[in-house]
Amino acid sequence: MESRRNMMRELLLESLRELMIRNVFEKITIKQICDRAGVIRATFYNYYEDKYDCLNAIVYHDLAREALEDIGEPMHMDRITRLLETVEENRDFYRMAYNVTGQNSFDDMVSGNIALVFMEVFRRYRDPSVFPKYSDEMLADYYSQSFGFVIKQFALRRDPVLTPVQAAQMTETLMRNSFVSFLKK
Amino acid sequence: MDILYAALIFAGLSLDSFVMMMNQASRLADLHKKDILLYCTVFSLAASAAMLMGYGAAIPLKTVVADKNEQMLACLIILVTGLYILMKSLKNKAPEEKADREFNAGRCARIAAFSRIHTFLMGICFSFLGFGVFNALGLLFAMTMIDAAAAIWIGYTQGSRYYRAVGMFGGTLIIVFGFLLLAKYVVR
Repeated sequence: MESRRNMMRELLLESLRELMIRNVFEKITIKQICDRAGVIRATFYNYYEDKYDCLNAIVYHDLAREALEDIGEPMHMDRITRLLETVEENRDFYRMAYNVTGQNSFDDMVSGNIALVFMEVFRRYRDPSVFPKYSDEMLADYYSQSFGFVIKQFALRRDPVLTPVQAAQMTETLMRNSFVSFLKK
Repeated sequence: MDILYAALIFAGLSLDSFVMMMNQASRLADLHKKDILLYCTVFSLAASAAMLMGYGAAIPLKTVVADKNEQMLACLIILVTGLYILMKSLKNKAPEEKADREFNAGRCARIAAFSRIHTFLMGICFSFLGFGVFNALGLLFAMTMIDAAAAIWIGYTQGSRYYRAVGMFGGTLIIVFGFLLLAKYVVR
């Protein structure tokens, strides 16, 4: 039963993903999503509140789900590279998705879902003696915005196009070095 | 007033309800046949109640409005109502396709009650034009039931489509027959 529900959820989100490659998000209707998935319109609301919820589910599926299922060692380069490879496979989708702005912007969805991963990492691996006055939530938000920036650059840049490895290296550099590190001694 | 004129004005009014119910039904996750019947009945009863209140309000108004002005006033109200529905439809934005899990007969009744001001005004107009109250109630109830049922089914299965065109058509229909009534009762 649960696997059937998950299958249906994925069917609908893949349907939205495919539609977004050729259509403006604002013009996509729930009927179109369901028609493409081969289900009746009302089925959609059994899984998602609205198409923004479905779009957020795509981001969760691509950027957070696998990492949350197997947190393992934080900041593992392979994991970051795999995540960016997923974005690369769906680059056309991400290029269209970043046009979704406003109250439910795609930028916010990306950083929100990455923050979930950072929260879990801090929950498991944080050294409580290091800057305890900064909460896990605050740090997760801060670093998720930074990683979100890398993903956006990776998805949108055309000339030259970054490879997943280059983008992963950029991520590692930005995460491991402070602002001061980039200044002259 | 001819029953055909009344029917067509009610058709115009019903199209406004049609858009409203279609938009609402497009947000429902689950709908059964008994729900459709319930919502249609609630909506139709609310519309009929508004019409009846309009007829009731016309009684004291008839004492202050001169006989020869009643028909002109009725036609003007019909025209303004049609214009209002037309302008409202023009400004309509695409409805938000977000799940509404708390919709029930109570909310349906509240939506119907607060949106039936123009049905109330039509009650006054039809009274001024000498159209029988029972004919008006019967016609309005039947048309609203059919419209609401169609709107709910279309909204639920297809989503909210052509809401602007349908609303504009309804407004236009009322305006056209408003002018025809003006020509028939006032200008002649």
